[in-house]
Amino acid sequence: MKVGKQSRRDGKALFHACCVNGVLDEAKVRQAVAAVIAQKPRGYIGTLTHLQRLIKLDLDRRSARVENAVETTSAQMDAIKTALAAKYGPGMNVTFWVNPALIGGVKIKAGSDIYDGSVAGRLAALNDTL
Amino acid sequence: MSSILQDIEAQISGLKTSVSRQNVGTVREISDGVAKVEGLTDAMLNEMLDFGNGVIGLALNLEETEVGVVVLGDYLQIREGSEVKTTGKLLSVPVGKGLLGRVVDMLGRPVDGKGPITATAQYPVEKIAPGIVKRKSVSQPLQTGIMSVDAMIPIGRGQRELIIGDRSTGKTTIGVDAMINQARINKQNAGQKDFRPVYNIYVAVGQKQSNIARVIAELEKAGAMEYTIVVAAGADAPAAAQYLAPFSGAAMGEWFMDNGMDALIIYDDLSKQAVAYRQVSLVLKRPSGREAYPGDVFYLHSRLLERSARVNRRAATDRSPPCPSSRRRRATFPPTSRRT
Repeated sequence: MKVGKQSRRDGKALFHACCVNGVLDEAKVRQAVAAVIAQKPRGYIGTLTHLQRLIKLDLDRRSARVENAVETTSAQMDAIKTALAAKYGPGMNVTFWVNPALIGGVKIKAGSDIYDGSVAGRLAALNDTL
Repeated sequence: MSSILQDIEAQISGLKTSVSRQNVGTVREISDGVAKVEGLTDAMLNEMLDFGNGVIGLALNLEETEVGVVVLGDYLQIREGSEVKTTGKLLSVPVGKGLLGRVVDMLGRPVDGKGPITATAQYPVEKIAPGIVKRKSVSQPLQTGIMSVDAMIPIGRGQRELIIGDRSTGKTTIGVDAMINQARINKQNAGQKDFRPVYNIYVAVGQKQSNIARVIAELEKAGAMEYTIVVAAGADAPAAAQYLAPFSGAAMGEWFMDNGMDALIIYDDLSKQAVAYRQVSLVLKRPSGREAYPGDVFYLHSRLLERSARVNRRAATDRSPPCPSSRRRRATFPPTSRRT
């Protein structure tokens, strides 16, 4: 649906109001959405649609997917989580997956960044170069 | 033999493994040759973006939650959810004498079926014009071969000249005649000491394919094609290609300028480039002004035309004595530049 300018502004203001120390607070978001639905201000559907989009973008920014060719040990997991938190700030949601197709190494997708240290990635890069 | 094995082992252990980092985004919406991409946090203005399958785009709008990308290629292959990667490079085109006699698109790819092009270098499509210190005043003539023009409105190398008129009044013909005349003079004086040939660049923007073909046929018939580069972004080309084609032509001309040579560039015509830019800007939801043209349509032309200049010897990379220059012409003038 097309979201109007005022609805976008309201959605953005609502999003910032639900952030605590730069991190989105889930309880506040639920409270805010419930309040908007109850009060039904003008253009509230557009506001909620835009808020949903902003929350989705924020969740994507703060999520990281770590793929390893073999099972990741807990020490490695902690090290990766610490490094990602240091680079991208607190509140990162890190998930770990096993992907044998990588052959070896680790591939991390954090927000919009992809760090590819896998053997499959390097072979693909070599293939592109050739 | 064992020492060789040890050396190789030492070299392998000394190799540093590096992890590549890529910035990616996801297509949220694609319409009319413009893609809205979420993510791409590191995208820079005018950066080339890779959609995969050889399709590239140009980041033109950097918004809070997404990047507006103009697709330079077949945008019908792109779907919502497609991945887009940054390349870290500005859009650039091949330049050099290898393009003479060829017809290329706005990316410098040949469209005449005569095989690949050997480029000397790659020049950025968008570039800042030479500053005032690098410039030299115009003092060398450029003969169009049309007596009334050469007598009453003499044109010099490094000058800009507008050809304005209603349709079917002979604007393109003047440009083509000027190019043919340069080829004639080049052939007459070939091999003479201190003679500076003038190379031609014809940029066809939004023209019918039949018109472009006719111009090419005229140039070939007159033997001018060997001194000419044709950059074709016809009416069937995407609006982004029509908007960028003159900049590609200017980049090709700048190579001649930087290497101590002269070039004549003809934009036919810039009003169609303004219309294409209007289309791209409206799809990108940029604020529009008079007649729906964006507010920076004049800047579009000024930054293009300012790149053509006569520069002094130090500005040219080549050591040949005379100052290089290039010239450009416009066929029409955009309406939003008029004062009421």
